[in-house]
Amino acid sequence: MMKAMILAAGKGTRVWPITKTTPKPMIPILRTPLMESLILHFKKFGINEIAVNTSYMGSEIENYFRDGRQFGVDITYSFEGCMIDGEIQTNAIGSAGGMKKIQDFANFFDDTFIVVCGDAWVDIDLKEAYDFHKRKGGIATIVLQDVPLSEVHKYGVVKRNEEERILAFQEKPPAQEAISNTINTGIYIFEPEIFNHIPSDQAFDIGSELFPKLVEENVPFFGISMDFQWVDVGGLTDVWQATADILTKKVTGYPMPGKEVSPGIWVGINVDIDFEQINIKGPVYIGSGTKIEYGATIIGPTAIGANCVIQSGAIIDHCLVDDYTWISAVVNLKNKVLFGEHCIDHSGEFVHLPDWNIGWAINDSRCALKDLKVDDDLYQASLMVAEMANTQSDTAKL
Amino acid sequence: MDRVGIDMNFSNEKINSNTLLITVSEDRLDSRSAPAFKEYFTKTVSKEMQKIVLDLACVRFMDSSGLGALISSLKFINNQGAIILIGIQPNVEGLMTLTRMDRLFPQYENLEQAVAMAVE
Repeated sequence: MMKAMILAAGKGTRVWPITKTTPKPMIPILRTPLMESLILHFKKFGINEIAVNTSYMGSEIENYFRDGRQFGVDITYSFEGCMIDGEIQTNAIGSAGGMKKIQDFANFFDDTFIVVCGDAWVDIDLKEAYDFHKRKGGIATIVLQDVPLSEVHKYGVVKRNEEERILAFQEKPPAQEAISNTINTGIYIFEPEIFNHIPSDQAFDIGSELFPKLVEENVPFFGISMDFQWVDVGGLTDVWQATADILTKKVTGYPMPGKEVSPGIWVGINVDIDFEQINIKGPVYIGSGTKIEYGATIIGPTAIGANCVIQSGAIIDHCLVDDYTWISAVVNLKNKVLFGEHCIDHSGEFVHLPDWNIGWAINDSRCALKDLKVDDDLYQASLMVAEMANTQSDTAKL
Repeated sequence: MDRVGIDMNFSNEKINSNTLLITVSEDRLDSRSAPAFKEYFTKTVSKEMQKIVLDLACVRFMDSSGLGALISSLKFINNQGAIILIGIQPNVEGLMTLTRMDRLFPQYENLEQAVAMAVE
């Protein structure tokens, strides 16, 4: 089967602040980084030599996948940047530039190969795409999907003739100006001859530079429309959306962690939870080593990480909670993603939790919580409300 | 109309015999501005004022200290009345909901609605 390249050098600006601590391909969706789920999918089709270009937080990616052996593949990394005075400086050179750098090094791509973005999981039938590519005989094939016209503004749109040859490109057009509703999925199959069209030692992009150049030079290349599932984290709100889609089974086949202990409730090992004593409504995933005290309320879709502590009476409703989170009894967490030090709502608004200074409500479960500096009036008021079934005489008790 | 303390970025206006509007013109109610707010509140609010409408439209950020100031204000008026919030911004609402403080402070979109509630 083919060799593959995974594009993993992006900075992930649109997923900030999650990408402050995690490069985009490493963002865990239900514990599995998207790039890992992608590698596992490649493996099913016999792809076992993979080049990965890295730059921003490249070490995070390299230290996780190492040489690929634990995933049953071989991985080589092409780092885009340099070391100056002991500090790594990143210098990403675009998707096509990254391909060219690998090829210029030792002609790694010696036959038909596939290139995909590392920040998406797909369950595409690679054999079908490969067969199409060979049948058409072009130097490139783009995997396409048809989307509703209202969605085209988010993507690169292509127009094909009846032989499925690509005629034109349009980057993120408004719906009324779109030349079609067929979009570029960021999955490409190439012949090594493609490198004749990519300049060396300069930044170059596949979608906005290489393909328009091929059209201009009248080089035949093709697009195949395929139907497959797709989970990506293009923007900040996608982290929640992807998780919710998998939990609610809108997307199926993504590697699901834990064991389904009752319908819609997946749990890791070594948890401290009495399911008779909490209010839980699936779909919910709870990570290993997590403690949920009696009387807590968990409403799905919700995913709670590993080694968390959810105190008695806390409410977690439509949330994604990172590993090692301590949630006190006072908390009513609704429609939020807690990731690292940030609390992100489902529309993408976020707050840096230390700025709120509410360590008495949300904290790291590894903190020595008995030493917490608590604004006692505030904590007590908050706790009192949490304990009240009826708010009629709340203020009287302050 | 009785306006004092405009230079402190807090102002007040008597709406009727038992309703006082306090407007916070700080964009942050945090450890820097919260003590001044607490002081302003205790100096401004008198016993006969049972309904305090707090206009937070300018406050784009509030932290634990700001929340603490609201709680101590509520304690100050004790069981005599209510503090009603108007113009609440997303960051402030997020903090209040998360800590369930939204249950202690009724929220309305504007002064008219708050007054209608206040004079029930």
